[in-house]
Amino acid sequence: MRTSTVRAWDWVHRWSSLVCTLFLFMLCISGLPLIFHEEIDALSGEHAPVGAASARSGQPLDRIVTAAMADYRRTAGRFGVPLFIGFSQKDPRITVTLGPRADASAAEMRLFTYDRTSGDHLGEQRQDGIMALILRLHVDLFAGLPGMLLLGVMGLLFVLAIVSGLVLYAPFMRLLPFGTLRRGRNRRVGLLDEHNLLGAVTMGWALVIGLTGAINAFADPLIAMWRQGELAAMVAASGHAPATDAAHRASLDQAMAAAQAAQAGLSPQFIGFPGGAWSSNHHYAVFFQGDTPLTSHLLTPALVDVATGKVDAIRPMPVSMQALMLSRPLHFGDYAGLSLKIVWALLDLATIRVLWSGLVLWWGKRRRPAARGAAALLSQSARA
Amino acid sequence: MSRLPARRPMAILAAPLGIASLVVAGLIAGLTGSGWRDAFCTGALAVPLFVFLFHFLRRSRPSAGSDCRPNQKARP
Repeated sequence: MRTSTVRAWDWVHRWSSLVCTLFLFMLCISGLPLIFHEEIDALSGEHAPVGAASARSGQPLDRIVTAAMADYRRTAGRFGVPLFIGFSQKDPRITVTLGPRADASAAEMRLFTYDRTSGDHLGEQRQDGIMALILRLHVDLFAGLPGMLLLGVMGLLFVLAIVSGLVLYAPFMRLLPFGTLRRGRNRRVGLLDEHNLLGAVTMGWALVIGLTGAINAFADPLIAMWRQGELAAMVAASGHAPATDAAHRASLDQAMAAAQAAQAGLSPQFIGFPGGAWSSNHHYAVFFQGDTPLTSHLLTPALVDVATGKVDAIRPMPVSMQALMLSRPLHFGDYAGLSLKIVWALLDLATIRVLWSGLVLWWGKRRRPAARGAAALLSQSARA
Repeated sequence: MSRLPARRPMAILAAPLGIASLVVAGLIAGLTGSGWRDAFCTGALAVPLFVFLFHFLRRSRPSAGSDCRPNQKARP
């Protein structure tokens, strides 16, 4: 590789890394407790009730929703509307999300959890607990959509930093065997070796995390595109109908029975109520998940007419939404038990170390003009 | 430390790309099944950590190479 080419890639690697480093430190550190959120929730005394999975059976949904609306009115001091119902595939817990309006923002939403087997109220999922705050910091920097988009761009810069780092790895390691870690001769060269080796071995995982994180960060625009494209087409194909007020809606249990009859064997993951981001103004949108480990991450919506309780349309999600849904488990690492979570956390710590060593190497360059530039470092690396 | 004759880029990148491929294969295996696939997923993702640890520990041993001279004064 020519020296000018090395210099160009070095510039790309340096600045793509530097711009996103601060954000990545925050993401890696806040991501650590999030990896173990299930275990932390269990430690804090939150235990799942025993019984059939709420996605399969239990108390009527209409009864659960009525109870949730009463709980919302009691705690919020005003009437609310149901926005989502979330089912569990493992235990009887069922969550009902409510807000002041159908198009309420995430900050206005309140989540109530019930035991679908007994109908008991299990409490409200607080949005101001430490784990909820860490999650918000990790997802949007407490800044909503602008924060998510900013972190998405940082994720893409991280991917660029990894790719440019790989390109630079070849000329740096031209004369050295894989795994070289030199100690003692020059602290800077030792740190460069460590940065190169740790960065090279964790490259595959870091690329996946960076890409899936960026896709997750663009979730809101992707969902809006789906709503305006595929969902609008599904609604148009079933014929336009005026919005129906809550008093004239069909029973939710009737709607669910019709949707399950049309999607035999599949399990519901959540229901989007009319007017929300995940449905039209005239439909309950029942989202089913597949019955294999892979398709359990993919959703298929069934639109049920809110007035008649009959299924209007069923259509698989587009590729963009499927990529979004698959990017979630790939980013969270929560699909193969505690042992994978521990490895995930160690890889996260390794990434923090790579970020730190990269920052120290850059700072050292700034303080030592003779060491500036990739060519100088390359030459220094080869001499050492 | 051994010094190699100059190598082709693909020879240099073979190890990092091989490990990355194994990691991606592990991620896909874990996502598409359970049981042995989950075990393979965890094992494949642990490979980068073991590779680094192996070289780190090898470097720490006095006999690992002629360049392991911790008391040598750092060059400017």
